[in-house]
Amino acid sequence: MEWKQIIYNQLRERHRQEQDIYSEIVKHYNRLIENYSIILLRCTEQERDILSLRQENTDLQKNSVSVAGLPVNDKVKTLEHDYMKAKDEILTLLRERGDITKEVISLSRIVKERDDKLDSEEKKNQVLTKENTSLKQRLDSAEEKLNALQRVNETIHDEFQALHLAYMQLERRQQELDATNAFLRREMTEKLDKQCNALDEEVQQHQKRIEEDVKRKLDEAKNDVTNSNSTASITTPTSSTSMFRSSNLDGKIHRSPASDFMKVVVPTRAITKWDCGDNELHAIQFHPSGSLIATGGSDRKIHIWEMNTSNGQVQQSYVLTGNNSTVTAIDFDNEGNNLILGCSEDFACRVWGLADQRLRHTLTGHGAKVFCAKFITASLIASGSQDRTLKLWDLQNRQCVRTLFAGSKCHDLVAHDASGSLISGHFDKKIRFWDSKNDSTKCELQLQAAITSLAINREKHLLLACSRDDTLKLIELRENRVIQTFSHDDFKVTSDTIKAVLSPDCAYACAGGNDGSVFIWNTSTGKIEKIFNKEHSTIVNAVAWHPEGRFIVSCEKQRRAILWGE
Amino acid sequence: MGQSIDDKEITRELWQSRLPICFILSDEDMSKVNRSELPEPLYLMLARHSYFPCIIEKIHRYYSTYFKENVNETTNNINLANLWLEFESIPLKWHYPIGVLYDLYASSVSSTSHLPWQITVHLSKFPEGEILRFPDKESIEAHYMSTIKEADALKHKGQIIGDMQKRDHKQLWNSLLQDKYDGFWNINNKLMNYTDNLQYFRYIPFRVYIVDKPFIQKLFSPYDIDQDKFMTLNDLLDFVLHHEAQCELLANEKKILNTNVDDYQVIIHGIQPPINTPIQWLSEHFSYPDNFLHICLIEKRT
Repeated sequence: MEWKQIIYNQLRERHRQEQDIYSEIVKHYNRLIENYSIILLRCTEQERDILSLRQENTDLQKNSVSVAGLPVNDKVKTLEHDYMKAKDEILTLLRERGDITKEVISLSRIVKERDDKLDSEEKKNQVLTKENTSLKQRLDSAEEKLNALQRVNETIHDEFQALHLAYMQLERRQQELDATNAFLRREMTEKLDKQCNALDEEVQQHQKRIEEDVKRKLDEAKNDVTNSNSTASITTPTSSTSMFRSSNLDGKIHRSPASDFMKVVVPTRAITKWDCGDNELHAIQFHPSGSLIATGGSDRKIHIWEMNTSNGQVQQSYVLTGNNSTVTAIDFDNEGNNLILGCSEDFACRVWGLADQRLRHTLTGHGAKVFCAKFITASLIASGSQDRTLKLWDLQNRQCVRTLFAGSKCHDLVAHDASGSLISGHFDKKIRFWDSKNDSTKCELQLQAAITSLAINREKHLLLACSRDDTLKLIELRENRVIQTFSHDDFKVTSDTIKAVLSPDCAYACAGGNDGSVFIWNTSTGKIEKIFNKEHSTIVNAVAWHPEGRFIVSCEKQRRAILWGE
Repeated sequence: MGQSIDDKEITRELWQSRLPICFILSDEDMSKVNRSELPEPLYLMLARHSYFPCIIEKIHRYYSTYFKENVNETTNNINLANLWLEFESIPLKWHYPIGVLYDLYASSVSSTSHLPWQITVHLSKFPEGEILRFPDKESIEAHYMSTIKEADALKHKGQIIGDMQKRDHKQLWNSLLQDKYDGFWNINNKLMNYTDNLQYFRYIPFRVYIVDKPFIQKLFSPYDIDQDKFMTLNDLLDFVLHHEAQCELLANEKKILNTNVDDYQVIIHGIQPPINTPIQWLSEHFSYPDNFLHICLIEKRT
């Protein structure tokens, strides 16, 4: 590494030559230069000071030259004296000035206070004037209101007077009207009583006539009977005295003394069976003369059958149409007008004439199926319906004259008297007795189950009700109490429209049962008299007793009708 | 004279080098001084590896006290921007290190009478055509950093300088300004590392200065792979002079360079290192702080 050594040596040599010699000198030189410049600065400053001092000095010398005339001491004294005086004057003047400024300050403060007071007073004044104007306005408006109110008050007072007068007048009128009303009421009640009496007389006469008729027929029959054999197992002796009203309060059933020709006989056998209609049978009824049978069912037609009373043969006579739905009940009028009434599930009742088979009237108005309808008189019909009302129809006007609201579906009804009193049996287990004078129930009889049918006897004092608790109840109408209950183990009431009937002399009650049997009870003993259980196969909907008492006809659901006799 | 001369001693010696310089105001500027006292010459000891722009403030402050009252007058043209330095009627370039300028212009073999180096300070008549205007501190810093990057690009393809953070760059420059040897060589050591599994730099960063010529810079590898030996200073100068002469021939220059190395004095850092010094070692330990080897060639006068 020779070269390194050489380089190093050269560097050291260079250092010595270039640096060592000169560095100290340069350092000292620079320091001297600095000091030199500082000294220069100070020098210039001092020269300036000297100059200024010299200037002052020359000035002072000039001043001293100008006062060179006087001896110096006296001059100085007088100068001093003048100087003191001047100073005193200055002091006093300064003091005066101070006082004056103080005064000025206080005065200005007072002025400010006065100004403030003035301002506040002015403001108060403004506020007060505003209040004053507003109060005046209010006063004016109040006066106006007062005037207006006074006027209104006067007018109201006047009106009051007038109204008072009118009121007095009206009161007087009302009193008059009340008086006339009472008078009129009294007259009306008298008239109604008169009417009732008249009706009673009419009924009496009617019965008299009937009795005479019966008597006549009996006479005729007597003649017949004496010619023919009489084979009767049980014949009820009929008395020939006519007693219309047999009131017997000891509970015994007094047999109604009808005409001689009536022989109520319990049938022994089925004489004729026939099918009628195409569907179910719901209603069957005898014509009051006993020669016609009417049936109605779900084929919407009423079939009229002729019956031969001697041999019991039945044949179809004609068919009445016009219903739009199932026929639920049939009734014949009993005043000889040859009218037949059928009510059906199409909410209407229809009346046909038997002689010409023509539809006479259609009575609509019910809101639901019509379950039952009866002639009260030849021109008054009562119908009961599922819409929980009973309606009374006048055939002359073809209008509903009364609607009775029963509150429950009416399953059957009977006419109590010709004036329009009704008895109806309802779904809610009640039998309702309706007054003909007003629209409310005279009385109600509660049973144990829904009532499916009602039948009343000719004298209108016994009511047979069939109810859903599988019993028939016999009700005495004077006191409205149940006197007999008929039942049997096999007798079941399973439909709401099963019909039960009384025999024309009330000796027997008949009804059809669920299994197709026909039951006959003795009303006086309450025991079952006869059961026919072989002929019908389905539920027996309705039964009817021949008005002369020798035949019973029953119809079952399955189109079959059977005539029972001996 | 022990054999084990530590490289550190040499680099420390280099760092501590100082040149005595005397700044004298030019005659025409002297005449414009409006104080009774004329400015004395300014003597400074400046580091060889520093740059003139670093001390230009000092110079300006020193001379401005003599021209203070003349600030408003513009006819005199006295201001900082017009300051330039001159030696023997050669305007001095700012971006050369001071040591390079001295070696190139003022040194000869054994002349100590040149010291202190007398530089004339001019405050007017700036020679626009010959040198650039005096830059501020930021410009000289930027010039320094770009020189370092160029050197690293030649040595390591720019990898090391690229991996360094900005504060390391700042530290290099600030250590240079504040004369902190340890601060500087902490970072500079990284730049002297080898990369790419080589035991030497890829190329040597160097510039060869000859009077009246722009500096010569060529690509030269410190290690000859074919001959498997390290190159010396002699090899480098040989290569450079021959290469330059060829370029001049091709360019049809009238005067061709003398390519004989022995005709020149080889001066680096003011000393003449032996010609057989390995160039790799020189680049590592004998470079200037901008990582370049600035080599001055002075023709021997026979």
